[in-house]
Amino acid sequence: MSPRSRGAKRIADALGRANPPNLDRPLLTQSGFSTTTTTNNHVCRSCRQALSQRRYASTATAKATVEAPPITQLSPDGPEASSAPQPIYTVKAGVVVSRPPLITPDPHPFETAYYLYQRRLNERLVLPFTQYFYYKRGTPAFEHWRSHRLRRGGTATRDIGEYNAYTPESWNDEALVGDESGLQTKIVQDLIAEEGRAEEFTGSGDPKFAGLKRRTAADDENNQQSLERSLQRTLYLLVKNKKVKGQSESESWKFPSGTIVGFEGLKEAAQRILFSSLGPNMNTFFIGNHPVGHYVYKFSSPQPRLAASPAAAGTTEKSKASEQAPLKQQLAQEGDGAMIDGEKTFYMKARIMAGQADLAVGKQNGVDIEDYKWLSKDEVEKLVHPEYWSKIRNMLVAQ
Amino acid sequence: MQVPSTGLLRAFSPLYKTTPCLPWTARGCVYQQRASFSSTEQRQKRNKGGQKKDPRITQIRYHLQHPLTPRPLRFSRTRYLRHWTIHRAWQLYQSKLRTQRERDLEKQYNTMHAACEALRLIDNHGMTTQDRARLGEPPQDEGGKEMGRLYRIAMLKHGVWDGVPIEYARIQTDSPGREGWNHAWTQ
Repeated sequence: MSPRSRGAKRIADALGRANPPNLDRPLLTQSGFSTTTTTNNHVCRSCRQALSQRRYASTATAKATVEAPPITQLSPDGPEASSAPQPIYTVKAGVVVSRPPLITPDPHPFETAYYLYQRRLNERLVLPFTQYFYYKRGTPAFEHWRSHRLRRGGTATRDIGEYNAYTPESWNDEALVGDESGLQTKIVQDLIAEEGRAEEFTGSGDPKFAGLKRRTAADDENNQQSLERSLQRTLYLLVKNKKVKGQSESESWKFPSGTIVGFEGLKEAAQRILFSSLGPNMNTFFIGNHPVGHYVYKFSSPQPRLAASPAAAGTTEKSKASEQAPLKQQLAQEGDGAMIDGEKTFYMKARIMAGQADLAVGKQNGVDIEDYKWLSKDEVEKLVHPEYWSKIRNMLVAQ
Repeated sequence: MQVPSTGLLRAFSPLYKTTPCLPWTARGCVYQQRASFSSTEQRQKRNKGGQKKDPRITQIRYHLQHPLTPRPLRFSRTRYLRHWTIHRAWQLYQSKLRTQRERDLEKQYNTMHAACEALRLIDNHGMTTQDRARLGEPPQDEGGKEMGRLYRIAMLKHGVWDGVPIEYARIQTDSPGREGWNHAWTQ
């Protein structure tokens, strides 16, 4: 067995690996506490890192727990090329605001056909409709119902089309291809017309809609800023940032995001960013405190951080001097300007229940948002840059 | 013209009740009832020793009889094959929907997990210790404190369920409301 130095390496190795070679020997560290190698769940991981770092600050490489490296874009230079003194990623909070579907989705044609098939089988199997229980002989309602039943081909139920389960031809219960008797719209239309209640729904006497329009004006115009469009789908808010030289149109469409200021948490930051860039007139609810996704964007070459104006390539709000507070202590050591390697954006999920975004508020606050859109998942895919899409697609819901 | 009988009307209409009293379904709930405590059938002399009958139950039972029930399905061979095919197709379709739904949820969960992991390893500069090691930078002296700060804030559970709005529970309807979306909502 090769001699192993006590202390740093051993702790870090043991804590890092699931099955270290020396299973039986308990560890003895410089501070004197002993830990068994296999199970050490008394200290959380970030504290363990702190321990190893604090003790062994002199060593060049602290063996922290082995983690998968953060997802980064492949930059042409590679990590070694950066010779800047203090590489930094700007940590940003983003918001994924969703408007959930307001109406039930359209059924698949197979579903419609299958449900019609099942209803007809049901008609064949169950007790015949007990008309004298519900309708009194000799009343107008009875006569009305009777006459309409004749028109339907003798069946009481209104959702199976022209099928009667009590005639010698009741074996023929399968609807042919192209038969529209199972369509929900047709059933409702006939029902409303029979009842003579079209006035109640539309006021215009048109039984075709009967107040049950599932497409709105926003659908017909394809107004992508409206929240009434695509009522069956979940809509997500995308904003168009100011175009940077060299960027294509698709790269400027992203979820709203901005830098984290001071000592706030992700949720606070996300709320601040959303309301300051798109106005407070949105009735939103932020779900939980944890992020639902993240996006790491590495610049092709390190950009200097500009204190007065926003950093390049991304939506950042105007960094004021106060924003630098937690970072100043680190920067002071270097002396010269910080070079930013890229951005790491963490997305918070929110739902909108009423209201609309307002670009004017963003302009007042100095945020460079040109446009916004409420899009469903496949529309987002078409609009946004493919690389960005591949990172955000799993956050979004299909329906 | 024959006067229609009022049997059904008497049986089911609440208008025929002379004295206001609790409905039949509330019997036994409140002690003021004249009905007996027991649910055992009561026999009456005026019925010649037969049990006290409720006309509503009689009517319902009568109408639930029919010479045509039960009616078992009778399929020919090819009709049965078509039925079996439809059944198999439906099962397949449903399982596809289910697995797709489960996969979407799994993807969402994994994305969340990855984001939280990335957040945990980050300090205020957005660097992990691995990044620093790779670039040859020494680990931060105060790395222990600021490392994963945002993660620790994100994992706090205090008050996450406070202020969940009722509109969050709005279900999908078959058609939208008359007013549509309130674009003019203000704070």
